[in-house]
Amino acid sequence: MQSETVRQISQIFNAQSVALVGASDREGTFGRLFLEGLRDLGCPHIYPVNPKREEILGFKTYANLTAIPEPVELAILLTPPEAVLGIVKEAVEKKLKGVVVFAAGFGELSAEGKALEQEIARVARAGGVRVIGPNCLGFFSPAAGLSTFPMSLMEKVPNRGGSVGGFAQSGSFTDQVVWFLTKKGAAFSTMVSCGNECDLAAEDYLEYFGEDENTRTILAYMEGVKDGRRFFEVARKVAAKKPVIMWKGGMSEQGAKAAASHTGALAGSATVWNALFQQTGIINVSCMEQVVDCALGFHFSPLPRGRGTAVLSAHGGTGVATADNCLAAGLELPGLADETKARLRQIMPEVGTSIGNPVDIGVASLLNPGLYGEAIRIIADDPNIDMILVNTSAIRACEEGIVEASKTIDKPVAVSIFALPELVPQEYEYLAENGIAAYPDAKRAAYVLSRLAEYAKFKAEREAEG
Amino acid sequence: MVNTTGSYEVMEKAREEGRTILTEIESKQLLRSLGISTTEIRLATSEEEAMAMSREIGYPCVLKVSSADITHKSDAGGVKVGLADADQVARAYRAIMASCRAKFPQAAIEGVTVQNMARPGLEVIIGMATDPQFGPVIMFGLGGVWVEVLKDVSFKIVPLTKADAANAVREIRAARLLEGFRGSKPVDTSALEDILLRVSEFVAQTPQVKEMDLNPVFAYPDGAVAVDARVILGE
Repeated sequence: MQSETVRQISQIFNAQSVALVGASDREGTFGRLFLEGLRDLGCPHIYPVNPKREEILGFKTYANLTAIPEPVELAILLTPPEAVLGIVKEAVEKKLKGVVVFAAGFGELSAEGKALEQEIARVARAGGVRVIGPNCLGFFSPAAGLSTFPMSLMEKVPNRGGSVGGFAQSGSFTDQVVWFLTKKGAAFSTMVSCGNECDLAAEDYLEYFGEDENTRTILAYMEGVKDGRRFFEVARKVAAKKPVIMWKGGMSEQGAKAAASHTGALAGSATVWNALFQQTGIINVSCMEQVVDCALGFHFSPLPRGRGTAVLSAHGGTGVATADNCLAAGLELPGLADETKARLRQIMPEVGTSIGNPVDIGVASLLNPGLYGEAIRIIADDPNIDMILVNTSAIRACEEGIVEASKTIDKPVAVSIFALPELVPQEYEYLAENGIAAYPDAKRAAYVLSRLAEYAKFKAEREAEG
Repeated sequence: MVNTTGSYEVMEKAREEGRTILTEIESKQLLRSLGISTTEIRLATSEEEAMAMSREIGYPCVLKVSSADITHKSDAGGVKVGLADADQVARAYRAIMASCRAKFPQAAIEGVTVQNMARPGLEVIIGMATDPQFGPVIMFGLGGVWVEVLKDVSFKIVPLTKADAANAVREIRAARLLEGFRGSKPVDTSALEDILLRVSEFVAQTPQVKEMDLNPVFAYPDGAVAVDARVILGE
């Protein structure tokens, strides 16, 4: 059963009629950027609201929400904070589903601001309208043609719907992560900026993404939580179904607390968040690089059956170091089965290669790039092997072999390209477009594989518990 | 299902007396009402009563001062262990009273508790605290003085599942000590998990409890016993 909140959020993220309050034709304003964005992404019904204009960018413009003759589902508010309550009352009168409040200057600033945002939430909720924000960056819902993310709009992020969804208590995070990951071949269902959470909060969005059929991977950045009990309950359900990758800010413990018991003194905030991650299965990461790396790994890869990893490399030395990276990340490097070895021997030259784990296919692979693909197929048949980490040079022919082989197997493949992304961006893009997570360092690839294996184990245990 | 009716009587009495910290005897009554084993404990208000109670409980026994105003009983000279007969109990009673009155002249001392001396076991701590964001959380770790030095503990948010309880015990760095070490038998981890689950179930339905320390709990190859305990209620 879908909760009322989930249904309401879904209506907002899929709104087909949108009022932009504070629309403008002036260059360099959000009022113009968002209007152009809604137009270019293909939002079906757009209603600019601005009492000083009759028309903006060819759209008929209205003095206020109630002046719009057709029904409206969503209003995006770019007005100053003092105007918000009045507009929310109009939204209630006009029976909108939701409003997005951009304005800052509420609870994050003062007690009066806090009282005002609580009043806004109360009036909205009583009238059946849900509020995103205030002090937020709205959301990005490309399949519905909706975006209020400035960077994504300026960078012309395409409106291709996808399966990565998420929420963040940082507007910049939501915008940047959409831009980065889209560049790397991922596509989004919805990404939403939580803001001050005067009404809808992280736990509501998490519940929504857990139930949203389009979303398969959930990303989050969080600092605090409004209703921790509910968040914990929701996280337990959602993370057992889909991977939730979370970067949590504020994990440094302040000094010891004064408490009347040992337990009280030791129960620091970071400690309790770590307990939450362990109990719910949320994949906790600690920087943007890990967010992006894990997002790609989980987005592109099936879940492995175990942590048995094969390292495939064309340069013996880095193969050994990659094996170190794998072991340090908690992966296992099982020996290959006899049949696998025999099959590899048939395709590999005798000189300059090594059939073990790591498998070194030697520099001959530069002359015969097809070796990569053949080796991947053979290794993937090995019952001891759950995942494959491939080291390759930035050579397209080698990558093509990797891409083709990866499509035919059902085990995760992570690629480490032996060249920095800024030198060969097109090679990273090529792999991303073909659904392969590529990293400039085998250590990062090993980290992602270990998180995949950890989550797969958690999910299997949770399913076994019933 | 844990029966919480007994615990409410204990907490109500403290409330009426304006206290938020339960005495050891109250804390253990509360634990027992939840089905958690503790040492046998009785309150003696005179030397003669202490001697009589020690005969009933048996030897060796332990005497501890009982006062809501004295939190660190050992530091006050308020604990005597390994008492082998009634005469030793009488001497211990006088020594405890003299020391505590000297060190804490303002303290209201209700008497001395007489307890059986638990056979030695592996000392662990089981505790509960209230997190401002997530509410009740439960801790497991190496107990006794080790908790202060090593801080080798694990936390779980309430309510605990069976898997959470098992993980809490398994996750501490010194988990190998529980599995048996240098010829000692493995301790009964299922008894420890059972206590964790009982505490979890209790605090999940009792928001007035703010913190708990069961420290130490003696873990044995067969069962586990709370040797000292403290329950703190919210304001």
